[in-house]
Amino acid sequence: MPDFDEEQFSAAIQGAEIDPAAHQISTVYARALLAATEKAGQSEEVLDEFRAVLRDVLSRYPHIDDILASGMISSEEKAAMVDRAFAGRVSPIFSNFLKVVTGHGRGRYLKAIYFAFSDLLDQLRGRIRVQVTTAAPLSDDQAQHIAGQLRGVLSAEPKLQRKVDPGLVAGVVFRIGDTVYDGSVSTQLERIRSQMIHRSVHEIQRRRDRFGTPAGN
Amino acid sequence: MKFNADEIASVLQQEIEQYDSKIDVREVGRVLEVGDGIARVYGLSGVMAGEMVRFANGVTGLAFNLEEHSVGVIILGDYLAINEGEEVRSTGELLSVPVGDAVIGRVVDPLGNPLDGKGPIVTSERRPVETMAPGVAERQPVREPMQTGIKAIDAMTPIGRGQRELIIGDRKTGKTAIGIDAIINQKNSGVKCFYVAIGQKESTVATVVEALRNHGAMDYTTVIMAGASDPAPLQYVAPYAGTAMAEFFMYKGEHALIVYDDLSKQAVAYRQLSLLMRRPPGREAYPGDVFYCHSRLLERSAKLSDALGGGSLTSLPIIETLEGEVSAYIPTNVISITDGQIYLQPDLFFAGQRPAMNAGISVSRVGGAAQIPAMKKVAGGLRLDLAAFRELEAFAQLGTDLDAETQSRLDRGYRMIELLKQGQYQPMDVTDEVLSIYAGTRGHLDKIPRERVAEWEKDFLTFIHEQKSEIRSKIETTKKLDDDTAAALEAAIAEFQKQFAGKKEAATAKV
Repeated sequence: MPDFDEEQFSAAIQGAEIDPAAHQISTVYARALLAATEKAGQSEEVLDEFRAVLRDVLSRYPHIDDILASGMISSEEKAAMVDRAFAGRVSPIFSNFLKVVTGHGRGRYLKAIYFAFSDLLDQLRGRIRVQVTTAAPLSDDQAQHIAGQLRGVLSAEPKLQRKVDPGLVAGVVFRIGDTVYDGSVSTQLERIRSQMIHRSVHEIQRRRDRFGTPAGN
Repeated sequence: MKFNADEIASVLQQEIEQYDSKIDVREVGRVLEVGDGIARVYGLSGVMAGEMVRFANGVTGLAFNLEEHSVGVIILGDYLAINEGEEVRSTGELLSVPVGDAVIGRVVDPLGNPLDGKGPIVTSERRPVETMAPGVAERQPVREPMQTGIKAIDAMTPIGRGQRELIIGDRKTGKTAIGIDAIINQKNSGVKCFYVAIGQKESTVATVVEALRNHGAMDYTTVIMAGASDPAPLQYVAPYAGTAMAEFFMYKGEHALIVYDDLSKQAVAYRQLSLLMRRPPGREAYPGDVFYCHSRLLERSAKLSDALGGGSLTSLPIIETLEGEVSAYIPTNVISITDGQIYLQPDLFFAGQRPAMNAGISVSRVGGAAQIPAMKKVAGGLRLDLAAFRELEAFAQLGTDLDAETQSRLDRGYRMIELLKQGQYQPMDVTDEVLSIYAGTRGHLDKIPRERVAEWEKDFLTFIHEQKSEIRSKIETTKKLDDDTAAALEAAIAEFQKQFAGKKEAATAKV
């Protein structure tokens, strides 16, 4: 299940994603990569390769990541290393991209670039990433159904990321970009609770005021 | 209090039945970092400048800086309970506070939450904390007096309703006392008062509230308090919140008075926020818009046009100087915004002249329009005379022989200084002020020993109250001092002088 895997993966490198400086730099590289892959018509393949490299190589051998990020090793050496490791095994575009990134000393932004790249590609293809949180795991049928519904509403292809949070009690929470559509029971319970407290307090105070001087003096 | 459990149960049931489940739509972001009263938030891409946001633990914040990839938020509450990575949601609202009669008599924090333990503030009326000041067409010139009950101020630097008069001076020179006396003097005048305490010791504020309560002033006063231990964002917002509460009465056609105690602390809080937000520092490390911070606040004090009800908001901002340095950044800013200043000096204060007002450099740019005609008549040249006296006094200290005229001007000056002394929490009625100052400026005190001036004044006012109340009521109703009344007053003073001389002899005889 690649979706779920990606969810875990993104949770692990959240830090990289929300560092504003990294975000800015990675967007520049991602945009350049996308332009190149679109020209060659290989965007999806490169995305798969990129994901595979991050998941199967860099996460598994963290010291490779460290080497790419290290300032002790010269950019030329890093580029040569990347060339030896990846040339022939991945598509020429991606291999060139890796060389450029390491050559410019931006090796540690690879993960952030991956996310920016994937976001840009989604935008281009009219896909929207939707995070669906439920109290219990969704079955595939349910997920299909939700995706179908969302397709109609968003007029775009939803890309579901499923998440389970028993704290919701029941219901669904969608997150699209920065907007959260919260239909969970826990939020409704919280709302009814504060509403009740609010109204009862006012009721009590109003009745108290009827007998005392107003304004609580 | 007895309550009916069934009733409560039925109310709760109603609530549940009436509850319609709506989907909660919100825009969210994630906390990147939290520091002294500020947070940086990732996300919240659609948030507006100045919009209220809510943190996961219920604390509110204010979107302060909108940057390319993050939003700078000032936290109005406990920032220690906010953690990195927590959700922040936008509310789509601007910060607002409860207003209206429900806040009168209360002690509240800058968000309108009660601090006095007298239960919740029940009102549905709210006003945004930041509003635009009334424009040119919505105003009219200041014309009604706002009596402070302090002789020196009402005579020399009169304050009008809708005016902004700065109270400036070093620490411990009686700045707060003037504000408090002005509030106490608004009793029975229908003016609603607001005292905004910014960055002060909680004990000081407690003393002020106690004093107001003892003098019956809490019935028409609201205290807005952001203490020294409150986070800087609350201290920054406090004056705007207080103004919002006061403005409500102004737009209703009523009159309000607000004392900001003090704006230098607010400027310091604003500087702290701005530096934490990495806004570039300018002079004295204050941000470039600290002038605007004060000008937009003080511009909201106004006298509204008759079409809008003719309400007014008078403000008495207080600024603390260091070592009498009025040319520091914040004092010059606020001096240039306000319609005059009352300058208090430590040397005068310690010489026993209280209020320690320096008549030479204290001014009111509204002037005579804010005085009743009687006061205008008796106190006309008083300020300049006193300033001239101070000069002469310095000269006379050289010890040379003085001609008779100079000596008499000195004598008059010394008596006037004595006469203008006034204790704390003892505001005077404006008619009494007119009577006292009339006696002083017309030279009726020149023969009285300096140390007995206060006694003379007290006895004189009692004498008028008890035996010549027709003179007093004439001035009180007409607010004028016509020639007939002046003549009657002259006669009354002559009569009293005899009585006082008799009393003096009796006193010396006893000794």
